Amino acid sequence: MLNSILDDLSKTSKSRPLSDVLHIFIFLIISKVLRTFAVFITYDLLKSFHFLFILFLTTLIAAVCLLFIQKPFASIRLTKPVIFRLIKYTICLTIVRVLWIFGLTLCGPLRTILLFEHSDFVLLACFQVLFSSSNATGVTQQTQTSRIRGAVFFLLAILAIFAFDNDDARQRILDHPEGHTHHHLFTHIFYLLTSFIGVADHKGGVILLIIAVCIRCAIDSLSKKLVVDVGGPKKFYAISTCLSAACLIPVSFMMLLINNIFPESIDLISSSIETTLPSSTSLSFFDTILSSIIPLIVISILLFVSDFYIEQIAAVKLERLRTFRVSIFTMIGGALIASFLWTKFSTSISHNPVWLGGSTEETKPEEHALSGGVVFSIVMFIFATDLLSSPIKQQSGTFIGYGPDGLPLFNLTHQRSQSFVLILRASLRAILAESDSRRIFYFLCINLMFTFVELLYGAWTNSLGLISDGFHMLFDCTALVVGLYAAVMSRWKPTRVFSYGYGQAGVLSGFVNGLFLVVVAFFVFYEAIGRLIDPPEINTNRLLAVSVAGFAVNMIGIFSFSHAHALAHGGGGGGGSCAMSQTTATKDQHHHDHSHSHGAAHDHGHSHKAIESTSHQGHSHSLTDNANMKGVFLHVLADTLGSVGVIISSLLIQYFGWYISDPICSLFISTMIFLSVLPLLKDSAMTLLLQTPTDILYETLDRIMKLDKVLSYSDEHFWKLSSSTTVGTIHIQISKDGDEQSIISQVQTILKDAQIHNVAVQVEKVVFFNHLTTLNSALGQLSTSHRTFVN
Amino acid sequence: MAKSTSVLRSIFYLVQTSHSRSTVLITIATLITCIMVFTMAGQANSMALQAYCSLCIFDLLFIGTALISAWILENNNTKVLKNVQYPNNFDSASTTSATSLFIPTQTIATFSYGTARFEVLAVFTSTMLSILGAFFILKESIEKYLEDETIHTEYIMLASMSTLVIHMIVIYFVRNQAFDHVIAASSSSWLQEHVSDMFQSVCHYIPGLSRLLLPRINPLALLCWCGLVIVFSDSFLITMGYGNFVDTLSSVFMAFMTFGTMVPIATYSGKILLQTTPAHMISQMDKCLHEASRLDGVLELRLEHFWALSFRTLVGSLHVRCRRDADEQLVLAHVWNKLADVVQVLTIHIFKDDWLRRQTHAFIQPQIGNPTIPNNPSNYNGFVVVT
Repeated sequence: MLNSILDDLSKTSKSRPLSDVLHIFIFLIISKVLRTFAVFITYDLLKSFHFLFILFLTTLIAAVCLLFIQKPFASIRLTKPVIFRLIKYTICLTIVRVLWIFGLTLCGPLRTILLFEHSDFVLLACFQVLFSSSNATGVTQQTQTSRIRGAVFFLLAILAIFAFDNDDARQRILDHPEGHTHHHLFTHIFYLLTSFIGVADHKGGVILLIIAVCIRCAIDSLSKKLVVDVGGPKKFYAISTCLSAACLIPVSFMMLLINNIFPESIDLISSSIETTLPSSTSLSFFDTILSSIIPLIVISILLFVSDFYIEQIAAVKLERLRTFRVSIFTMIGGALIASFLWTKFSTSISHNPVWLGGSTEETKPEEHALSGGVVFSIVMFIFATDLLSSPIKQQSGTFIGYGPDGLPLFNLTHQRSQSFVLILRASLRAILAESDSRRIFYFLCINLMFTFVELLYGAWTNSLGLISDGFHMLFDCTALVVGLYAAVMSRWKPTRVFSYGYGQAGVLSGFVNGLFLVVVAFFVFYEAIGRLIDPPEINTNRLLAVSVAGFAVNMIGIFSFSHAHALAHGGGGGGGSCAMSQTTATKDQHHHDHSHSHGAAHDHGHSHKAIESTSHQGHSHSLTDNANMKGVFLHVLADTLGSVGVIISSLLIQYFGWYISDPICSLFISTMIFLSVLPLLKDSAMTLLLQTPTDILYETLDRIMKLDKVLSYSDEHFWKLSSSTTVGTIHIQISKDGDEQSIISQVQTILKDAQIHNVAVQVEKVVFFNHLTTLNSALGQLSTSHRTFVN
Repeated sequence: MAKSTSVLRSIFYLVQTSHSRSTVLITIATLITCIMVFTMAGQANSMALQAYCSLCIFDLLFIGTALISAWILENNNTKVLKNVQYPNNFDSASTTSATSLFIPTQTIATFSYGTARFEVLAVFTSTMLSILGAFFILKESIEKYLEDETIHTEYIMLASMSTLVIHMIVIYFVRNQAFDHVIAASSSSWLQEHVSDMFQSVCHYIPGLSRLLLPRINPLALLCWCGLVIVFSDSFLITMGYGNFVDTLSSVFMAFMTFGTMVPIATYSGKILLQTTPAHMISQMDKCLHEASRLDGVLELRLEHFWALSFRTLVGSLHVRCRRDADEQLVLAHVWNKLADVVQVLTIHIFKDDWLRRQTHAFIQPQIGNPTIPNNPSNYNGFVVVT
């Protein structure tokens, strides 16, 4: 469905010269202006009659007209399935029209035109941009960019109408919903619905119109085959209009009955809208219908008959896209002008009500007037329409270029998308494959669950503190997500671009988590200083319970991660007994930490320092210190500190009323977080800067020097790839009669003893430099090693 | 410790030298503005303003990066001066670790590749910090929306204007090699893309503007201008009485713009930190490797590691399996010759299968197994002679 429309879009048919189709242009513009006009009249009529009647009558009149013009039942034989589908389509169409006219009563004509008159092109292009990957289609990058912008403008426009358009008149009514009785039963039900959701009336109308336009777009695209089956769009339209009128008969008569049985409802409406209205409206109901028959006929012809025919002609003579662009711009412009005129007009003629068929009400001059939001959304809609309905340039070339992996990229017309469940299952398996990621994942799940419960409970009890704390937890979860992703990623196989594998990703993620904590510490510090100057009153209600719960959750995290942490230390220790003692020491300190966690804050500082020192020890002994896990651990620790701080300060506030204790606590905590994160930052930064590991000791290189025939070495580079692997490169200069391969193997053996496995050794002799001189090659970095031979 | 003192000394040096005195002045101005603006943002209680003012903090980081890259440049220059007696030594990459490499000594430099990677890390850190800051502001603005406090608009104009001024001064008057390179080399942000797309159509009508607006505007300046527009419209709407929702929305928008601007830069520098091959080098590397694999005596290339050390330096190591009877030094020289133009710091590991057997072979027939190497290699005329 989508593709067919987009094919339509991309079709660049020969545009005819303007002079040929000028009359059609003019017709189109006139018909669209008239349609705009008709929408405004309809809105005025809707003030006095029920919308279902108006819809029914206009549809009926249009059906009669179309029957005469088209004679659709004269010459066709419809099979049963076609009839069935036709009826389905008609029901949908009727629903769309009901929604439309109801939206019109709620939003006013200008907004209705803005929202409803979009063609399927724009909507589908918008959907396509939002919900499909940009790489799948062969659309050029620039078009894609402008499409995205168009979609964003479209959404902004809708948002502007929805949120920034304070429709004053309606708002005023909404402020006193008890005293205001709604016009009709439907309106009242709808009002109940919207007030349940919590949006204003006209906003409900906006939602209705958006739903309507989406349904229309869907049924129009789905009924393409049906149109062909029935035999041409005109015939199809005539039949569906007739059927729609038939559909509306029972509903409208039911409404009529209801209104006759409960006539007081109409009275109520009339009196509520209009105090000066004579009560004769309900009595002479049919008289007013009869007197307003002329505007009804005008409306139905303009809305449903002439507009359709002219659009059909234009679609044939011009292409559909151009037709659409012209019509939407005309309608928006027309509606803008009309809404200016209409308010003045209706206020000026309110004393002369004959023309409008008995609707003698004085319209409130401000009702559905222009507002800043509407103007903004008009501008946005114009931009969006222009961007989204510009034709797509389809690229037919197959070869695009080289990807980052060095493979040639081809333009696949139909990219296979994996099923979401499969991706989920695969990633879950990858996560659960290793203990680190598994641990992070479980803790993440616990954390998310806690957050969810907190948010739900906060929404239930309408407590802002809980909700904002929930958001805070959600924010913290991102650090866990980063850690999890890095933990999974560090196990990926090396590729062409990532030739050393993804081991460094863990270090980088540790670094990023460290930076994260720095940012958190900074903002906490900043807020604390602000509060230190002006300590606010804090409601400690429920704060204590939440922070204790958060503390408990974080404690679980600390338990699990400190275990991992300790294991990492122990494993890296190298010597057995030493590692054991370290592990137990770390555990001890954590235990200590737990048991005294309710005590004073300096206790935490103490335990914290202990952890720092152990990490230092561990580092000095071992290379296997997982920066990623450390980062996650520190984050959880910082959270725990935060909840401890909240507990302490809320206790102090509750019992002593020291409001100053809260900022002091936060100052303290932020400093602590900052200090604790420094070693992690330093370590991971050093790894990222390719610092030579300190335990590549002199004796290793000394042993290389002492090998037979080795003159010197140069360009020795050794660095930690991840926490556990060290790689390096070295150049070795040997004398003329040495054998390269044996030297290489000896060097490799020596380096293997020093736990360096992945080594590249370049063995150079004097001859090599002679060759290079011959080849006219620049020496570059070799100048230093060359000196060995020169001297 | 020695390192930190040297860092201090070089910063001191920067303060003393004339060309960086303006930088120091700008730094002080930025610090003052930063404090002032954040006080105002705290008073105004507007998250959008706070999001905008966090540009000031980014400016501080920007200046820090500039200082680091200037320090690195200075380091290199002094070392070049020290080594000027050796005429071949102009390559910056090799000079960085040169002090310890005159004679094979017992010491190892802490950073064997030199300090060039510092600026990559500095760029990464500053962009990452501003991304995380934007993220924090995202969260804060949601919380503020829930709290629903009143916003004072009187400070907004002053604070945002001073932020704009200081940001523009920092971006255009502080010389920052690292950021210049990253901005030029990284892929453009979505903000840049959309703006250039828009300006392209503008320049269709007014071609004179194309020099100013195309092809890409500095993303940091762009971020600043767009943020200014957002803050102004925000304050306008708040004075119109639209309430807190506007403020939250605009701060969210600001945060997304910051993401969009910073993410490409962070990705670019993060990829360098992860020791990857830069995307633009791949095709050239492929060509060189292809040529190298066709050399006489080369059987295959293995374990190719080519990665960017810093913004300008490429480091590589590869293992070459060569024929058993090939002259290793000759093969080494040829492969080196092919790759050395592209890769600045190169290590080629040449290995042979069953070299032990060859060795025994050589013991038996020493005159064949160990071919005579003529002292005058120019006889070869650059061709690999197969023995």
